[in-house]
Amino acid sequence: MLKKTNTLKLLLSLTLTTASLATPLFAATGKEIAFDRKKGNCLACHAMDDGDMPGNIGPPLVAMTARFPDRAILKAQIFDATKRNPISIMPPFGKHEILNDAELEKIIDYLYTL
Amino acid sequence: MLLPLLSLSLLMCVFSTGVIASDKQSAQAAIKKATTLLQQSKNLGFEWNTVTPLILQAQDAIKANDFDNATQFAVKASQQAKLSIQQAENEEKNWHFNLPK
Amino acid sequence: MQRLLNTFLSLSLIVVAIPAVATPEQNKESFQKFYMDRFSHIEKDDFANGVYALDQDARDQWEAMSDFPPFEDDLDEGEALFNTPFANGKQYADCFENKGQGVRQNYPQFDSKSGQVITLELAINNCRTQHGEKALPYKKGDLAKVSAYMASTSKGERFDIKIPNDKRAQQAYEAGKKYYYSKRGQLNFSCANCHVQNVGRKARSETLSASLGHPTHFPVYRMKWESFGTLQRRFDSCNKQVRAQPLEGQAKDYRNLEYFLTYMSNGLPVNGPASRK
Repeated sequence: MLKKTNTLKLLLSLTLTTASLATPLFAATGKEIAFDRKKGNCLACHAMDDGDMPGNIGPPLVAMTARFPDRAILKAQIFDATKRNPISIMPPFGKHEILNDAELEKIIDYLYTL
Repeated sequence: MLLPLLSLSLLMCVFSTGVIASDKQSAQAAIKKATTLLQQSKNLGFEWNTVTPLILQAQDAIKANDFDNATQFAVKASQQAKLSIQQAENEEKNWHFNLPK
Repeated sequence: MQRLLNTFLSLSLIVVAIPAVATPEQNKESFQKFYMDRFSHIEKDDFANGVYALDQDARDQWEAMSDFPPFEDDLDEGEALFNTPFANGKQYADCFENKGQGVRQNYPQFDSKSGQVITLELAINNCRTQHGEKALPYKKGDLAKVSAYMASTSKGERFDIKIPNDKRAQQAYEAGKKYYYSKRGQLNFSCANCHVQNVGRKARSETLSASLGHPTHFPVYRMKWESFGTLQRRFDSCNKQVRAQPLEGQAKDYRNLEYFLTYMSNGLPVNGPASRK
């Protein structure tokens, strides 16, 4: 499972580097993407980490490993929360191309440190 | 779960090699397609404000004879316009779930 | 799991199918009740103060600011413009009931001649073109000033939007309702996502306001704009925030949305123009 995921990640990152000319030389960290108002903007709704003045629309992002032992479920929630609940306020970050796959993966890596 | 993702990334590989081969004509065709889809989403009342900037970037890239980039921007614009059309279809079914209960 | 989900969905369909076919009057009752139940400590009329009804800290700051309203000059200009005759000698007062004094609470209204929703701003511009003047740009500027003046003459009057027994009026109302409850933009938000389901919660440090009372205080002088803006200018801001393309001023969808939204606030007092952050 782990091996497969790694192969997948490698494949995806290869794809992304060839497909996107806009990939910056120094990529942002998962935390930076999560906090960036134009990217994840997670703090708009969630308390997390040392984020200043977070919103309270969604639950605080704590104990993520315990709450989401399955990475795929966490990813699916961030990719498109409306799949489980059609009126969820959470933006479908993956489905609507708000974040690309590499950014999603980085955010998830970061979330698992919380 | 993994399989569709794998095939998606393979698809992206194919797509990225396709990009390398784009010329002025194919870039212009990609822009035309994006513009048509944008008009459709506008007519449905679900236009995203991200699409027109992508089309403008594609047009600028054509002016700079950068047809690969032009095609990439146009394809991205098309994809987002399609997503907004899909959003219109979804909301046709789902909007009333929002009513206060 | 899928079956469970399907059952759940079809069950919720049955539950919401009732309000979906409800009359506008029933919609309004349940809409207002929703907020009054949710904020049972708030007087109904206080919802006209928008977010300041819900957020005491923000209200304290706002009240301090309101000691010297930032819009006095613009409002005076609006009055002067309102009273300036057109080239043909007519003036705004000639186009409105009661010479345009105290009429804000009746807008938007459905015009059975054109089959369209007429907002106050559209009526102002119709008045101009009817008397050979050029239409003013919508959303801000002189039009918003005139509209603000007209609102100021209506202070305390209660909103009384009518949906006549005309199929086209009901369709306009339903279209506005659908616009309000539909997700749009790349970020996929409906108006209701923030202002119904998450009303009172915070997006970062901003309290999400109730839609009950949203239209009552417009045009609004926003410090961010440093000028008056109409309700439709505010729709633009929301649309941009969710990455949806804003519509032209007085686009049909916007007028229908304004019709629905104002109808939902029927019974609340006119308290525009007001100032906002």
